[in-house]
Amino acid sequence: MFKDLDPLLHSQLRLAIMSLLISVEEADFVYLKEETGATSGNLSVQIDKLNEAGYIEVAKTFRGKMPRTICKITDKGVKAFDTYVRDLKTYFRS
Amino acid sequence: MHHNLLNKSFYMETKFTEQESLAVINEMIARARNNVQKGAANNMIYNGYAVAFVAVLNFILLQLLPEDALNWSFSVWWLMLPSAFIDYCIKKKLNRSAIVRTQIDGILTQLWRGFSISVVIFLVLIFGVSYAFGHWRYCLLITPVMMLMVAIAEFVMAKICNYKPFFWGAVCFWAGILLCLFSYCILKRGDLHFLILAVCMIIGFVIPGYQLNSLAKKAHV
Repeated sequence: MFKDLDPLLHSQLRLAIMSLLISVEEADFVYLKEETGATSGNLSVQIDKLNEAGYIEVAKTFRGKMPRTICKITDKGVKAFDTYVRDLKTYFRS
Repeated sequence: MHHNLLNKSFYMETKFTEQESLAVINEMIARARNNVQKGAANNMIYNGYAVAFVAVLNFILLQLLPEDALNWSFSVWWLMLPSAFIDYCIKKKLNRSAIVRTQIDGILTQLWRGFSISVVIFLVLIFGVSYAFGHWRYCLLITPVMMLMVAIAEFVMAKICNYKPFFWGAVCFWAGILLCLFSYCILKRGDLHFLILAVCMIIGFVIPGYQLNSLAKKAHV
């Protein structure tokens, strides 16, 4: 039986962001941009969506005079990612 | 080099299959795992050179000083205190410029913190025992035991980072310990261990450090 995949995670860039964040403690916006190869605007929009859903935490800080955006996956995000991967497996088992 | 999944058009809201989804997860997790920060091994390189320099200096002083002043040669190791401060500054600068913090970074920080604590406790122990028994020859154990601790730390690092040169670095320190034993027992020399330490620091610590930095540089081009 196929399970419906979480629509919030079943998007290329959002899934890429979550896959990176699940593997690290925290990551800067610059790192996510470098690794995903996405544009700043698109990345920013997708980060906001994940933040609103409570899947990630976003902290705005400064390094010297430069603003920094630090992203970190939340417990809710870890659970959602875990469920997504489990649901995804059902497609391959069949 | 970016995978073909990672181009801007891929992120347009096109139809996204389960296979593509799995590919994105695998690709991103692999990228995060292989992440090495530029200059990640700067501390390693600095400490390698610093210890090698002080060890060679100690060896030279042992050859030059008159016999009744030989013990003064060991005071050069106090240079490691300001050196620890420089090491701290390098680490702080690196942390400031880091754009990602992984679980591995945390584990490695703890590993070297544990190493530093062990070094301090060991030095207190060996000087305490030497003082209590009035036998300063126990101090000959300092170099091989320090090398043993570095070897264990590097061996663990090789596994955690999945980086072979660290394993060979550990092997180099283990071989150095056997050479120390040879110099004490066969050659009856109590000064050569400083030269052995210096060579091991360069081959087993500085060179893997440069290799790691070069790898990180290539990855971020």
